[in-house]
Amino acid sequence: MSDSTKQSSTNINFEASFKKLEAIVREFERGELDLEVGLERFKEALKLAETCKKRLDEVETKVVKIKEQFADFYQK
Amino acid sequence: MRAKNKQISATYHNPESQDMREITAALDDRHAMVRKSTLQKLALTKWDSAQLPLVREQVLIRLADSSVMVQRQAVKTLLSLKLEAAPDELLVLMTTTEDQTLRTLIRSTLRRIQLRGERAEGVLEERKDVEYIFSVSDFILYLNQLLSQEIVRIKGEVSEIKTFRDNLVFFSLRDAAGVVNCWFPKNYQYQWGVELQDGLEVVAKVKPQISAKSGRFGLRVLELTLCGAGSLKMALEKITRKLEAEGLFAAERKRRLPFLPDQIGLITGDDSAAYSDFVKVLLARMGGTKVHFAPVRVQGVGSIAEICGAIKYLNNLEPAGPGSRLDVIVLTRGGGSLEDLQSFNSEEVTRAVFSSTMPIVAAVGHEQDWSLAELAADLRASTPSNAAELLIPDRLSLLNELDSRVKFCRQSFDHLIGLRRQSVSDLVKELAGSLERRITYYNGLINSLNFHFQSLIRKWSQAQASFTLYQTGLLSNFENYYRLKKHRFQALYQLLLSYSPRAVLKRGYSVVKIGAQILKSASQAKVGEEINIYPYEGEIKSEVKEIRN
Repeated sequence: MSDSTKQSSTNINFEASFKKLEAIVREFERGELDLEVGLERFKEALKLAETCKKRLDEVETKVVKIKEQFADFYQK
Repeated sequence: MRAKNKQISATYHNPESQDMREITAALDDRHAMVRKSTLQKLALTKWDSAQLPLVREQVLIRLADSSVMVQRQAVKTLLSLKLEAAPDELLVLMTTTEDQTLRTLIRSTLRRIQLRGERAEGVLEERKDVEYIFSVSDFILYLNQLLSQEIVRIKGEVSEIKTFRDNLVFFSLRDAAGVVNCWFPKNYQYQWGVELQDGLEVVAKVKPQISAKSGRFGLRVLELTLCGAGSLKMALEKITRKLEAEGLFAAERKRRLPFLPDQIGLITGDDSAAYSDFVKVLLARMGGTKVHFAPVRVQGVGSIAEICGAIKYLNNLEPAGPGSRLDVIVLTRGGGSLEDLQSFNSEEVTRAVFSSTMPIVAAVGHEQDWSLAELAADLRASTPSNAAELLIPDRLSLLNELDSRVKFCRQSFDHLIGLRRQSVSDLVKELAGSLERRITYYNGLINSLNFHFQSLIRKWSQAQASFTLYQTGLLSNFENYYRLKKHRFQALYQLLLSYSPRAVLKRGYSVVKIGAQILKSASQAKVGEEINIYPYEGEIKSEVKEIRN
């Protein structure tokens, strides 16, 4: 349990935002929204898309090579 | 300690690079087990004649060891070092030691050395010629002496495996027509990496021996290798069944992978194609990811421990940056033969994958058969590149997805506004329309009312006209009819009158009755009976005087 909650925060933000956006799309798809709620949802969708784009605009990928004798961690 | 043993054996594999100082150090190790196993290794190594005296010298020192266990091993090792004469140290030890086993061991060793010497001088040949009488133990020694030269490799099927006192393993090696008994110290199987099981086909490097105690012939196994892929496959099937029964491959145990991992643990070979493929695809798809690369050996001796260790290490890693743990671990390597994939198919690695607290993606570049590590992983990818593809969404397609979602929301919202506008104008239109419809309806109603009224009046006057017409017609018809009927009635009445009995009586006939009965025959009356006679007019009462029939 604690492992899943310890997931990194940006990761959760991205995934949650992306899902929320999807939910809004679905709400619109059902076509049951009235104008006032629709406006709220639309504003929220724009904000969520912005959050997601911020993560996607990151460019750098780092590879760190770990220098350990991994066999030493086995059977301990 | 295990590590140290391995180190020593590694040096011995290459006799040219012997380092006597290292051996001396190992022989002086404060752990008796290390000293003993070093001696064991010395006995199994082939020495050239230049090294032999040096080694002998070292072993002889160990005869004075503080541990009886080491002393015994030193004696055994000495025997393998091709001594031509019994060293004084051995004789001294035999007289001074209090250990019974050690003493017996030395005695037998001395005897063997003696035999060896005699054999070298051709004495043994002589003995056979002159019908020499052996003692039993001498004969066994003699035979073992001969047999010890015969180190061979045998291929056969393993059966009847038994472990004795948890340190010796006995088994039978057989083929269609024959069987031999084999044994080896249990620890050896870890070095060979072979888990014995019934039906396994193996090649055993053996040294024949006869047990002095039981007189049984047996083969001491010096080395054991699995024979071909068929054998490995069988072993694999066995482990697969076992782990499957334990639920290591169960679909419901698979965890969901993070949607866009920021921190990835990567376990694969250093400088391997798998590594570069994975990283290449990763870089092409998305930025902002941190890869913690654990380089390991992916096959061969030590690979299992390294992979398992790396999984454990990455599970406990607390990297800097967002989050305090990795999001996912990727375990991958290129494809290979079943032998190459042995560590990925091993129980240890499979269990390590299964019990990882991080979700694991496993990929072996091998499309057909899944390795056990892949079966136990939360997600299996077909190749290292495929692992990166499955793990990391493509940046461009995600951006497109985002854009299209926002676009859809905007369109939907615009549509909502359009709907509202439309609905107002629709309402007005509908209202006007319905008013118009109503007017038309009433107009129609009035028109049709007028029409119906007219037609009603018309019908009424028509009906009146035809009624007058009918009335006159009907009257005249009735008068004619009545006149016709009256004539016919009078004619019929006359006819009816002519049929009346009174008309007959009028013509002179009478009716005779007795009581109410009309008399038709004389026999109906009796003499003296009163009868009434009815003529046309009046009535006559009379009495019967005579009857004639």
